[in-house]
Amino acid sequence: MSAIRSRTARIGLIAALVGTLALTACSPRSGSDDLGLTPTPTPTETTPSAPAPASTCENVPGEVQPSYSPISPDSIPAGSTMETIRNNGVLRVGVSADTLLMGARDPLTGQIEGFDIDVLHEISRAIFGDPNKLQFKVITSAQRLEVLTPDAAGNTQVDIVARTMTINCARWETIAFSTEYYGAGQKVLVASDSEATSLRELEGLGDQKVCAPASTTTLTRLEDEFPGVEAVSAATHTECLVLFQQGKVDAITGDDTILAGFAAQDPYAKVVGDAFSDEPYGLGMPADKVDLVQFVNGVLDRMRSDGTWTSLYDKWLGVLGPAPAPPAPVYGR
Amino acid sequence: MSTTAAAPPPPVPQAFPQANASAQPANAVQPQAAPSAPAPAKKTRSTPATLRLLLALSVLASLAFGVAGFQTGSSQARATADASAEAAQLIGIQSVRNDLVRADAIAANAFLVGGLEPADQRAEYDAAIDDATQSLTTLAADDKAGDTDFAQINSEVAIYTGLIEQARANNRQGFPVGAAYLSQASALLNDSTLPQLEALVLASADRAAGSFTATTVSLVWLVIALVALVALIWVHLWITRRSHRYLNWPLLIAAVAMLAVGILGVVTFSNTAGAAIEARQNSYAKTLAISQAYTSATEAKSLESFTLIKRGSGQTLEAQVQTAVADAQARLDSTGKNYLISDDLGNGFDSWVEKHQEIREKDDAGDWDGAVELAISQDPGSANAVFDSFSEAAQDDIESSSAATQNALDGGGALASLLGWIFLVTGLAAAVLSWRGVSLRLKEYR
Repeated sequence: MSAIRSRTARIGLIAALVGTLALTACSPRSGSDDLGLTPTPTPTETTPSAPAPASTCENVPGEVQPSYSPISPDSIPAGSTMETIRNNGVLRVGVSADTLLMGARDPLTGQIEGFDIDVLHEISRAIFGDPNKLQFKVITSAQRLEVLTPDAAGNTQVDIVARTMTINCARWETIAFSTEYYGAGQKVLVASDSEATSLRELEGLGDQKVCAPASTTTLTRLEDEFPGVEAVSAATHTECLVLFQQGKVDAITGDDTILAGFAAQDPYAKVVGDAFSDEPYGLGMPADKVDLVQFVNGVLDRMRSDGTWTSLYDKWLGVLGPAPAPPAPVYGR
Repeated sequence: MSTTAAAPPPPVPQAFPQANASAQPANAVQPQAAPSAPAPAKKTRSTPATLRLLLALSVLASLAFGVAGFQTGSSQARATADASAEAAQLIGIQSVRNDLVRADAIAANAFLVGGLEPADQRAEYDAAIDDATQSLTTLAADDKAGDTDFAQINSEVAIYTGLIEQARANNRQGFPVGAAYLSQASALLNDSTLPQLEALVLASADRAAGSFTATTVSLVWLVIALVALVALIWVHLWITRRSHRYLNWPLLIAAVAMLAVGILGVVTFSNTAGAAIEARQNSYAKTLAISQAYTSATEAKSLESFTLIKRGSGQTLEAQVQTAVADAQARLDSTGKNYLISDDLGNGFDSWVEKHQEIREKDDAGDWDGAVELAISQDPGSANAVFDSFSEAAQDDIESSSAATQNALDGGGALASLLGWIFLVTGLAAAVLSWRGVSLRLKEYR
C-alpha cells in the first residue's frame, strides 16, 4: 500500500518539478530581456559638417576676394530672391548666440544682439521696411557652410549667415559672400599675468595649449603655422573660454572682436599683440542667389556712406578704439 | 545518492555489490529462497550485516533529507531576497538617473527664462540633485556587486553641479559664457554619467534575473531530499517484509513524517518558485516597463528645453525627442502583456506630447519667443503642469508595482525559509527514529 503511495507521490513530485523547471525555461533569462532592451545598432555619428574639400585656390595676402557688383537697395525687382523672402514674411538668418559684441544672446532679455545682428537688421529694413523680420537660427562655426548648402530640393536652411565669417576663396567655392563688412584680425588671449604677447612667444615657452573653434580659418592657421603649440579645438569660441577658465588651455586665438568679448567677460584675461592676419568678414549666402548678394552689397554700400556703419561700430566695438574707415568694397566677380 | 550513502558501511564480509541493493526488493519478497543465479553474493551476507548496512543507509538518508531540504529552503529564501533587493536597487538606480535628467532639464529651462531664474525652479533643481545624491549614497551602501562606479558617478555629479553653478553665476552677470558652462555640464551628464548609470541598471537587472532563476534552480536540492525520502521508505518496506512485522513504529513515524514534510515541501517550494516567476512576468515586468517609460519621458522633456536653447538648430534633438516619446509610449502600452498599465498613465503622457507638439510648432514657425513662453509656463494646463502630473502618476505606479513585487518575493521567501528549518528538524528526528527502528530489529539477532 505504501509502495503505491510512494510511487504515485514520486510521479507527482517529478511532474511538479518538471513543470516548474519548464516554466523557468519559458520565462526570460537575462536582465536585458527583463528590461525589454532591443539591441540597437549604434547610431552612426553624423559629422557636423563635411570637411572643407581640399582647395587648390590661393588667397593673396592683403587682398579680399571680390564679390558681385551691387544693385540698388531701394527697390526689389519682381521675381527676385528678395521678393520671395518678402513674400515669406521673414528673413532666415544663421547667427551666433554666444559671441559677445558680434552676436550674443543677452541672458537678461533673451534677445540676440551684436554688430553682426545689427547688420542683419539693416538688411531686414531694406527688404521689409521693418528691421525686426529676422528669424534666427543659432549655429556653430562648423555649421556655417552647411546651412547655406542646398538640400536635395534646392532649399537652404537659412538665407544669410552673419557669424564672424572670413571671406576666402575656398569658401567661395561652395557659397557666395557679400563685400567685406568688417576687417578683423587674429590675435591671442592669455591670462592677465602671462608675459607672452604672441603665439611665437607661446611656442617659445613650450608645452602651451591654445584653443580655437573647429572648422575655422583660425584653427587651420594655428595648426599650420604654429607647430610649437598644442592646438585644441572646441565647438565654439565660447567653449574655448570655458576651457581657458578651467585651466585646460593656456591661451585662445581668434579674431580680435571675439577676444574682446571674452576679455569683457573675464577680468583675468587680456588680449595681446598685434593682429597677425587679416580676417575680412563677409555675409554668407547660397552660391546661386547672386541677386541677393548684389542686393546685400547695395545695403552695405549705403551703410558705409550714410554713417550707419560707423555708428554701429561705435555702439558695439567702441572698446577696440575709435571707429576706423569702413572696409572698402571689392567687386569684379 | 543511495550508493554514496551506503559507502561507509560497518564491517561487511567480502565485497558486496552495491548496485544490487536497489534491484533487490522485487526478489526479496521470498526470503533467501529465490535461487537467482546471477546474484550469489546476496546469500553470503548475513541478515544482521544487511541490517547494519540498512541502519547506516536509513540514518544517512534521513540526514540527507533534512540537509537537502534545508538547503532548498535557505537557497530559495536567499534567491528571493536577492531578487527583491536587486529589483529595489534597480528601481533606485533608475530613479537617480531620472532625478539627474530632471535636474538638467530644470537648469536648461531656467536658462531659457533669462538671467534671473525663478526661485521655485531653483528649489526644484535643488530637490532633484538632493534626491539623486542621497539615493546614490544608499544605493552604494546596498550594492551587492561592490561596483566602484557609484563613487565615480558621485564625483561626476559633484563636477556637474559645480559647472551648473558657474553657468548660473555667469548667466546672472549677463555673460554668454554661462551657456557654454551649461552645455559642458549637460555633455558630462549625457556622455559619461548617464551611460554609467545605464550600465549599472543593466548589471542590476542581470543580477535580478540570476536571482529569479535561482529560486527555481534551488529545487534541484529538493530532488535530492526526495531521493533520500524514497530510500528511507524502501528501507522500511524491506525490513517490514523481511521481519514479517508490519509495524516498526519508529521507522513508520520517520517515513510518514518525511513523506508529509516532503509533500509540503514540493507544494511550498514550487509555489515560491512559481510566485517568483509570476512576479517576474507581472509586477516586476510592469515596474520595469513604467520605470523605463518614465526615464524616456523625462529625457524627452529635458531635450525639449535643449531644442529651444539651440534656437532653430534643434531638429536633430527633436528627432531624439521623438525616439524617446515613441519608446515611452510603447512601454506604457500593456496590450498583449501579462500585466496591465492603466490607460490614464498613457493618456497623461500623450497629453504632454500634444503640448510638446504645440511648442515645436511655434518654434518651427519662427515664433521662438512664443515657444519659450509655452515651455517655461507653470500655469495649470501648461506643458510643465501636464508633465508634472504624469510624473507623479508614474512614480506612484512604479512604487506600488515595485511593492507588489517585493511582497510576492518576500512572502514566498519567508515560507521557503521556514520550511527549510522544518525539513532540517524532521530529518534529524527521522535519523534518530530510523536508528531506533532498525536497532530494534537488529537486537533480535543478538
